[in-house]
Amino acid sequence: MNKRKAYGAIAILLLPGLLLYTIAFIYPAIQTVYQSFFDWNGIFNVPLTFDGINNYKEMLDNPNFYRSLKNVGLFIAASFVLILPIALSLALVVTSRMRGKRFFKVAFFIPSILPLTSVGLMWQFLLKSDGLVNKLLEMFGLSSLTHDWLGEPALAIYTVVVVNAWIYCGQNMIIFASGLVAIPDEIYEAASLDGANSFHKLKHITLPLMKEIFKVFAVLAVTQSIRVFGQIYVITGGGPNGATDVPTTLLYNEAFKFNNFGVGNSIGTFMIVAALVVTVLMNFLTSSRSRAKKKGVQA
Amino acid sequence: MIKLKRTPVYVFSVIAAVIFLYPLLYSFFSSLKDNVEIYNNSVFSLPDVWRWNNYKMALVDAKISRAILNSFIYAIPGTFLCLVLSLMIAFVLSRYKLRMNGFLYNYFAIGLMIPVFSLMIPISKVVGALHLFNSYPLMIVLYGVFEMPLAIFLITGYMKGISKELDESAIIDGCGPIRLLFQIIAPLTMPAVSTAGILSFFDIYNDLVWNVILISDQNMNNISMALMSFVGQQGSSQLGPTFAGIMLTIVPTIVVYLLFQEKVEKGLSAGAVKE
Repeated sequence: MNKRKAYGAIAILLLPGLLLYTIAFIYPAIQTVYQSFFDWNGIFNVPLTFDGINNYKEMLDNPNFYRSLKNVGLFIAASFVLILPIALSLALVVTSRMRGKRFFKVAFFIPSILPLTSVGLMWQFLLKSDGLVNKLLEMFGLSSLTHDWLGEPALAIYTVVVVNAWIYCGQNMIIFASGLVAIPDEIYEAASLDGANSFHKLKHITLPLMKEIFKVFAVLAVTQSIRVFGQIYVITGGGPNGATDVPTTLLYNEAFKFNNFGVGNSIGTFMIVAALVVTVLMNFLTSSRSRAKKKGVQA
Repeated sequence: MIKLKRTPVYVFSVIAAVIFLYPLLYSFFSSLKDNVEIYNNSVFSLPDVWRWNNYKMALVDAKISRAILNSFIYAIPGTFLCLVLSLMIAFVLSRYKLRMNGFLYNYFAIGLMIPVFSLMIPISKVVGALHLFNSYPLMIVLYGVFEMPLAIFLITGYMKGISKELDESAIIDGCGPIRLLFQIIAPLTMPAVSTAGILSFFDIYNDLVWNVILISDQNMNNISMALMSFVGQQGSSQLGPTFAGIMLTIVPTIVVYLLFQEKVEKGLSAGAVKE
């Protein structure tokens, strides 16, 4: 290919996307970091004033910031103790030979494709003191267990975490199912000949061979928990009294409710750094382990 | 495949299906009731009278019909823009051995890692300073760009697997790079393109945050915003129409899913790499 002509073509192919991506993605990211050292009240023709690290001090002085980190921790924990076992069980069901598995797959999967706002609002109504959840409890004679699920500060975050699991189990089921389908049947057949029962097969074949999928799940669980927004914004708005705040809702409220755009940007910077560190760290951990494994195989 | 014991698996599956579907079914029945019925009826009862009027209220008063249209106005061109730009970039990344390829790939990969919410303040500031609030073209471009990193990732990976011998014979026949991409390579990349397309479509269609901060004109609200403001106005005074609004915003998504079932499922497991 004519070199000069090729460079022209490369430029035509590359530049529009590269330019838009830089303007709409990279530039704002840099601005978030830069503006986190400035004060700004949100009025467009009022200039920024340099403020040193005061925004960060204010961020760290805010008790809700620590609560928001704790809440992200809860989302991560729930991914492993709630979503993982349920999604894996559902995946075992929909990849088995049972009748009606197509119906079940659709049923389990539907919540995770619905608009977050719509299902969030739906749950808001179902969880009210006179909503479906409490009515069901009363019907089964469990009136003592009824609560104002979203109104009690100590309880609200756990309620949202469970709703979040309801939303995302299906998506994770699909991820696990794609891993399960990839395991060749011959291995199971060979194990059957050796007299292995279902539990043995799960423990010695399925789980070890799903290692890569579990890694994907782990990265997903952590990074997705850092970016939780819609669930909280729609269902509780961060309330009651900041009990369900996460960094994203804190950022939104500081900036667009209280006009503390500087503090909002320092939270944004914190999120960018956290996301980059977590992704790089997890990639490093998972790839170094698989490298070690490869070496082990060669040796 | 593990053989599971039949009965316990069925019991487990049915319980799970009820937990995942019943809230939706209950919302559907509630969407046809009035407040008195919702509060007094047992949780399993059908509506006494099927009040389809609730749907009319949601469609007209809450402007849900307009909102569904708006969501499509954002999502279809936004997805199209994302796919065209991503195809062009993926073509360069997978077809040309440039010294900057590694850098470019990582430069776009940053977009997979950075939470897009962290960009809301600078973006709203620039958009405000340029007086570009309430602009369809701006929203479409922004949405398209935000979906690019994942699309580039999926499409480049797939395109690398397409034999380069095709290119060579096409070039010998006098086919230029741009025609080569759009007439020969792009159709062969369709599986990855449609996966990326479905994912972008859902993401844009369901967006909440950008509509909240960049749109103030009610006639431009997407489904999320229209529903939020409808519920904000109604509160608990009109539960029936509120549930009707929720059902109306849910149904198009279910229809798209059932139409493109395989693609959506493939997309979500591929999209997992992003989030």
